[in-house]
Amino acid sequence: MKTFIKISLTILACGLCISAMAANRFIIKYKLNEAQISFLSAHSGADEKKAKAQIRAQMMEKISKEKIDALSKAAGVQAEDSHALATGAHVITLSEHLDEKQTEQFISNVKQDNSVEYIEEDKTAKVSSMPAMHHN
Amino acid sequence: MKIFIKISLTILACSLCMSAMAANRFIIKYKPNESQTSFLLEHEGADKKKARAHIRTQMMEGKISNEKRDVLSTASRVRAKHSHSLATGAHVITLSEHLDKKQTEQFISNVKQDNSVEYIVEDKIAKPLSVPTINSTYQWDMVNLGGFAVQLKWSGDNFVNAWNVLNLYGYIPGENVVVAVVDTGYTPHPNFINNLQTLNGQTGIYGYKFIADCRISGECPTDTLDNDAKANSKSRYTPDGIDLGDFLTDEDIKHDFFKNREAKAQNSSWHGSHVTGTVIGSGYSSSNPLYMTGGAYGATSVPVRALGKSGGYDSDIINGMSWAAGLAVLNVDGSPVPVNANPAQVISMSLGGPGSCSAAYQDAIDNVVAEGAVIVVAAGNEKSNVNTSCPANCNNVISVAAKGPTGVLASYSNYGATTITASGGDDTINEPLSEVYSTIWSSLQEYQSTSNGGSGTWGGMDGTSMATPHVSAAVADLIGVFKAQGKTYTSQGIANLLQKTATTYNNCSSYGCATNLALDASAAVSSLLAPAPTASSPSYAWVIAGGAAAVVGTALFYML
Repeated sequence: MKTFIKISLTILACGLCISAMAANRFIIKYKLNEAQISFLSAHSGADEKKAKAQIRAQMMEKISKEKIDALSKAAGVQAEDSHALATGAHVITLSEHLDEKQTEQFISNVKQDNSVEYIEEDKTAKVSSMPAMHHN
Repeated sequence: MKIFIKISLTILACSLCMSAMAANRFIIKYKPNESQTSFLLEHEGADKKKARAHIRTQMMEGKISNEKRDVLSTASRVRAKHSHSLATGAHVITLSEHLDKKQTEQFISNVKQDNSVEYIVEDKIAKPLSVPTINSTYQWDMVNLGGFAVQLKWSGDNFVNAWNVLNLYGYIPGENVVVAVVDTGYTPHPNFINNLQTLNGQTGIYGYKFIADCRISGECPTDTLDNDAKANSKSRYTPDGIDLGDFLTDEDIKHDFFKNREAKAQNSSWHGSHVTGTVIGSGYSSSNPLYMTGGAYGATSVPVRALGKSGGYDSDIINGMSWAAGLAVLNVDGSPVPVNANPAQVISMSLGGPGSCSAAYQDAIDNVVAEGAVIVVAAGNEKSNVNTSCPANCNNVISVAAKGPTGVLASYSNYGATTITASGGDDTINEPLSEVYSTIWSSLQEYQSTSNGGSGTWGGMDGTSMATPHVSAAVADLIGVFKAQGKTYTSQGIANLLQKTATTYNNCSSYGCATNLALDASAAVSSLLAPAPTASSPSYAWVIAGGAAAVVGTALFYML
């Protein structure tokens, strides 16, 4: 297994060639498991909001080692669960930056796992003002 | 009993965390007793006025009985004390501890269970109902179409008329509404510092920082390596959304981290302060020429610092907006971030990035809207279709394009299926007066609280960033009225109302056309205040609303 990762690293990852588009942060969310779906179905009335918050709290718990291993395999480098988001999604970081093509491949690989609801790059947003500014 | 009160005090009352919403003064009136009721019935004729005065005097006399006071103490779980009586026969009572919003609601609910109580309400602080003046040289964005003395008769979003209409009906624009500004944070600018929401009652701390990388927040050197940044204790979410500056030098952008983020060298923008001033600026006066008046100057704002050097991660923005709405958020180390005790009803986001709406954003937006908040997002400045700018292209948000002072879609603004357009300035028209002017900080680099930190000043900027807080302010004004009227509202309903009351404008630039609707704040608030139309009683509110834009918005409604 280790050998596989090492080899993949040279194929997929881009350790020395950080391009302008290199990415090593992603947001991933897994689908609800059967028990969680049942729980929400049983609380679809007045308790719905509270029930959803409870499920989100469950989903904020750390990603399992098994899932992290699968992500590492899909990336060809080491993946790590950085932190959870309020939605129940997680920020994962990779030990190496992936270029644009590698990022697409990684996302495509991960999406083959049916338990994944979504995965996308953790991009950067910027202020929506024009660069020039006039002080008084 | 004493023990009970002491224990409850730690559970219910809020002795160390006086929030802006904390209350310890209430007005209570008891119903007339049986003999007083009989007395009034016997004097229904010519003596009615005199009899009522007599009963009021009785009700004013003396203090509330010990028995009643004990009931109030039990209901509040702290000590209640009679302060003084009012001319109406009601009494002001004070509590030994401040109650937060939830505790206040519970206290009032408990007291109302006593059938002898006619009413109990919080003894609130009224603000003067005069409408502030605006900076007539620069604030074209706040005026209505063609009715302003500024050079060239530039037009804006009709806020001055909106304030006048609200004032006429006894409302303060945006009162009791919290607007979260998800941006670069706040500076202690005198124009809005008193209108910022303290963090759960902690004096001098406003909002929260949601930046999980210390290089972006400016709390570690820009050449810090990934692993060191990750291990740095500053790479966490922390209380207070103070803007430390988003400047980057030519040297800074050579480091891998910023090179990879395609960062450019710049001075600090103080962007969050500019946006905040447009929403809640307390008001211009000749003695305070640095002050600008915000569209919802009676609202409070909670600063959510999610943008720093080179912008901000989507993940941090998602957590920041979720927290603002009152949702549970975990810190980077997995510990809980204190829940925002004063959730925002409006979330103003003058930010974005290229790409389709991400699933992660839509997920967060849906949760936030389900909490009852309205999200307002800048359409972007790429001269492109708004469907290329995230999160403006997500569902359940109000996306805002920008127009300049001559009522034409701004040359830089994104277009397409935007929700609405508002004043964002246009640098192709008679610069710099055509920009939107608001509050900024004078320092070109970092904010330092102790020395050499600069001071509050004002400046002009262009962008859909600047248009967005105008819409956020109008939404706050609307929600203020809804809340005062005890009415419910939805995000979609407010978007529809803004569109229904909008004025039309020249919505095409040389790149494309936005939605043909521009914000008319006066028509929007007037639509909530006008009396129900009847064939025989035309609405005076309409006459007062005045302005071409206001008339266009809903005159047809009355004709129908």
